[in-house]
Amino acid sequence: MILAGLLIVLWLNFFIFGVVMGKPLTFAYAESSIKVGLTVLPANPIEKTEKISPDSENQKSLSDLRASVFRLISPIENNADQNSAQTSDSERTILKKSIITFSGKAIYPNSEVLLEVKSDPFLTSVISDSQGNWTWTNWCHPLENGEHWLEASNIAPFELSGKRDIFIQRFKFFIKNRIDDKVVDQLALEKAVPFNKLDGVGNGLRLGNSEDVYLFNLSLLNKKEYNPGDDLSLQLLFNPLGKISNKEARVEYEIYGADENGATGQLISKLEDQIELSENQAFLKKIKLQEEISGGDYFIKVLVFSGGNKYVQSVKFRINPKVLIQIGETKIEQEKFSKIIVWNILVVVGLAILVLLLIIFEYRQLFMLDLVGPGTLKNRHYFS
Amino acid sequence: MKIYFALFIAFFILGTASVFASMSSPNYVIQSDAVDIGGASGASSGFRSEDTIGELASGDSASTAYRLRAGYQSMQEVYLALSAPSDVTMSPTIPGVSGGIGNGSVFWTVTTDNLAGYSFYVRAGATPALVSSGNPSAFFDDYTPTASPDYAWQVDSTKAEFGFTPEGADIVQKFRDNGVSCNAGTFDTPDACWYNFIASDPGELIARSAVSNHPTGVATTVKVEAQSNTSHLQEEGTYQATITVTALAN
Repeated sequence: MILAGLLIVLWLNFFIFGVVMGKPLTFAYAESSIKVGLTVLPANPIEKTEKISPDSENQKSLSDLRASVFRLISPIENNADQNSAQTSDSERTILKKSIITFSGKAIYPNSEVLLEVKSDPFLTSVISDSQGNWTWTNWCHPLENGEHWLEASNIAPFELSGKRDIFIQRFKFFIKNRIDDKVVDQLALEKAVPFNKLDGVGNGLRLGNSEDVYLFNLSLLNKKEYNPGDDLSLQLLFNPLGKISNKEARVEYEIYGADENGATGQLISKLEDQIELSENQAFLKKIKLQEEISGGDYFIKVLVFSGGNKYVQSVKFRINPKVLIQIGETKIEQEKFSKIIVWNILVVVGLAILVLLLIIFEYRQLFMLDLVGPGTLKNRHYFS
Repeated sequence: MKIYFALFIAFFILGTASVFASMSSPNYVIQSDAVDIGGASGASSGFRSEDTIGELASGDSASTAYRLRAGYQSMQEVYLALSAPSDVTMSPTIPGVSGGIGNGSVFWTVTTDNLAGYSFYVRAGATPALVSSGNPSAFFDDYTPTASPDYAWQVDSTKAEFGFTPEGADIVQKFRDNGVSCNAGTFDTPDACWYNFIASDPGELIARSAVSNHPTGVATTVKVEAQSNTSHLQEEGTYQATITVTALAN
């Protein structure tokens, strides 16, 4: 009975723990841990910045700048029908991209063109070339879906009879079903719908009631290609038109990493400054780039807020990949060097395999046949 | 009375034998069993013991060619070895702005003489797995497969993710493919069938075998990949994940 009882207990033990609970009867196991590492290079290209300062070499006092009187020379008629929002789709200039290269023709070569864009109201300016052509792109400042208009005021570079001529064109366009596919749209203003109602800043200048209006230009001094660790000098130029009532301005800098098409990018860094426009019209902003920054294209967009107006300008610059080795004119960049090393290793391994195969092919008989020793022929009864 | 007693004994012996003979399921196989009169498991903080009593002819025997370990407890000794690879650094480095893909691979060889084979699991030390060493708030999301798993690696343009794919002769059906999708077919297409790491013990089952592979062992490669996509900004720094694998005798 005792034996039977033990067997029952044993059976139940195996049944319950082995079958019902699924407890394994072997406990062998082994564990191994490793660390997986990855390095991400800095996104922000800025190492440090210096506070914006007056650009003494390009300085003129604002009080020295002449408050011009402007004379409108473009033929404008207030046409209620054309100003109406009832324009049919077939008459509309419809775009599908948020980044647009605007282009037009100024009546004066090498002259200033003040651009005002609404519905997101901002001002910017561009200088026409020797043929009077100008282009401007709202890099990194995308426009939303909906109705927009652009007023281009071409200002004569000289005065006639104490007045500067101002030629104003206004165009309406629409952005519909916006696609951000990183492709820049084109809008030649002569192809856009003319919009004859004038109530923008340009017309305000003509009437003498626009205040704190500047031709704002932005440029990178000396060069547009930099190496990691370089200093980048940004020049901001303000050329006042008309009256100045507010002398303080807030400056915002936004740095964008350009995408692979270079059309636009994503915000990676933001800075801010306050400037006084009372005595200065040219400013320098110095930015030191980081040493460990990935190469590529970048944009810097500058927004200036002064007297209720917003100014937008962007410039594109390039940071060259870090050079690891330079022999004369030949530069080997860090990323290329890694690839070169990998390919070299592959080639060397390939060659080694090839040499090994040749050796095996050459001496294959040694592997297949026995060596003929001193007694071999005798053992094979050749002399019997 | 003696006859009834003998039948009673025989019933349970046969019953036990029949139960033991069928003791296998997708989760375990009992390789051997014995009928004896007692035994138990015991454990302390430093030791663990398993004992039986009443076995006949148990003990070690050996010749030049063979070694015998007779007896239930002796036979339960299973050899299971796992290789210990070095740490992995994924390459190339990823530019924080434009993004990119870094990848690496590591393999473990499991060797076991267990007749029922082994199971091989992989897990991460934390969720998310790949975290910046200097800033715990910066990390790569764990891979989010749209299928289970994804045949091709794919990361949303606004995201940064980290995942893996196993390769080897013993990988489980979940990571096999038919050239188009995973968990189908019998292929082990290189760089296909991507999945996320989990942190719970024992981890994701990636390989399994039902036979002994002693003495050669079988290698299972774990390929890891991290991508910061073009519309995502990944904070600079050195990111690290702890990957642990567990080999269990079946």
